[in-house]
Amino acid sequence: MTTVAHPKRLLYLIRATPYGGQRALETLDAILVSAAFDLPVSVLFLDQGIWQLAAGQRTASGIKNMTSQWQVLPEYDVTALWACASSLAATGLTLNDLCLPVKVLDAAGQRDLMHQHDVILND
Amino acid sequence: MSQSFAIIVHGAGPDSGAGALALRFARAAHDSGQRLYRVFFYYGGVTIASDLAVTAQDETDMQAEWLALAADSGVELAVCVAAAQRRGIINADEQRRYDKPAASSHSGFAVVGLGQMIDAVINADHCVTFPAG
Repeated sequence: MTTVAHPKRLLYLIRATPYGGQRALETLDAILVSAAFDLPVSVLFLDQGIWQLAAGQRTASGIKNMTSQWQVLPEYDVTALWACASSLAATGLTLNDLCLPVKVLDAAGQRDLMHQHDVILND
Repeated sequence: MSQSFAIIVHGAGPDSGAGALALRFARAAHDSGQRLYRVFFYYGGVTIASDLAVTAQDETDMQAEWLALAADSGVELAVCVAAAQRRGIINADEQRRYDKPAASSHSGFAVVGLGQMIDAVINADHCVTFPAG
């Protein structure tokens, strides 16, 4: 049996775009429930998932705005937020264009991040 | 010594290969003496619990395969209640609560909260997710 002396550290990988159905909202739900269990939770945004954090998203009525939705993370003490450097570059966005403070990681940094967590959850 | 696995499935049915992949993994884990802590269906994966789907005669009934695995291994098959409600998968309690004309979930699947996913993540030795892809 694997024994983990500390609470399990969870890393969520977010690759999906913000408005591909309600996937992003369901991902956010899972993250918030994890945080409610007092688990250390980190989130890595990569690939098209970078768009989730774009500031100033405008949505038609009836569609929840993900800019506002993601901004609840700090209220749940989810502050370990990361972005893939090459994905960020591919979107053409800069850190100033994002609605939450994230740290940028290159490929080696992302590998290290994954090793620092006990469980990795995909969206 | 055997290890326990939490298996999280994000896709199911004809729109995703995630369910078939997850099933093969879970079956292999069980057959090799590992313990299945819980199978948790999230996102579109919850549609596996529909009691109303019909499988063509020359295709594999994936729900029957999951139920057979549960019968063999004793593993709980759980679907997220919020994700399931959005997709029309409700049990008899929810049918009454929301005044819907019928229940649609198969009794072999537990309709539970997301906390059960986190419980599995915390308590199983290993957690494997199968994204919808």
